[in-house]
Amino acid sequence: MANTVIGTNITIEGEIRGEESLTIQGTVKGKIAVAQGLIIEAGANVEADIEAQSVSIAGRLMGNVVARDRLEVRPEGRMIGDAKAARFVIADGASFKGNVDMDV
Amino acid sequence: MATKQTVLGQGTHVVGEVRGDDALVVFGRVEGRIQISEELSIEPGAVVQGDVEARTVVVAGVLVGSITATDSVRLTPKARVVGSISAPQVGIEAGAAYRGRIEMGEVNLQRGDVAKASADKGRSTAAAAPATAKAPPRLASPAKATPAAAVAAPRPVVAAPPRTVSAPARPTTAAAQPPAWARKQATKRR
Repeated sequence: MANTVIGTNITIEGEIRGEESLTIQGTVKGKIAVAQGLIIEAGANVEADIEAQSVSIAGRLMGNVVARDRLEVRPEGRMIGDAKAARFVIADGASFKGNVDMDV
Repeated sequence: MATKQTVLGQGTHVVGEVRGDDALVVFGRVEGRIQISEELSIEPGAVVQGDVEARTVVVAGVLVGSITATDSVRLTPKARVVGSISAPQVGIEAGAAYRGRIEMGEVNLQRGDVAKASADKGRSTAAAAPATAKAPPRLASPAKATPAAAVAAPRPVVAAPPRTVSAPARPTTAAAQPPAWARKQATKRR
């Protein structure tokens, strides 16, 4: 059924768990754990620790990320926090501050 | 997908507060308060435990918590709802299971009015009067739920607002059983 989308004008404070993918356009504060992909779109504001299969950040994220597969900070993305992922991409133009652990 | 709509999918579980100005469609689970200024739909299969506030609320899933709508509330045939409803317009469709108190905005009765009116009418309503006067502020306690309400799967902590604690053990007996004088009359007729 419908995947989860948190729209521009929505704020969630608390914990989000899911077995599907999650797209955030709005604001989330707390904790996120999803079994599939997480997309933080441009304009979104996230203050949360994240656990997901893959994570793509085009908005602002403050928090630690554990991606089982892939983490990408896109050109318009900003991230402050520690990153742990098998594959980690920081696009040209993105800003990032934190530790990186790529399981070496 | 429309950008002005937020969807919480089937496998998604939110614990905490959801608020904002978009429409919200819930297929999954929410434990916590929902406060939005657009339409909230709780779809079949969805479970919401917590108070909800929206412009319009349409329930087709399970909701345990109070509903406050500035516009309308609709309980569709698949709805299972426990909690009070406050809205100018309330629709409960056949098949919906609901337990709680409803308050429609336009009704402007004082709490004492019902009791007074019943007392004036005299004996015929005497049996019902105490029940009506006391019952409104309370919800039936979950312990002896009606069969329909028992379907509302989870019976979490939220299910019982604090005030239900004082609900009498069997509030329905008074209404269900005719008073002694009525029974006597019935026997005479036979």
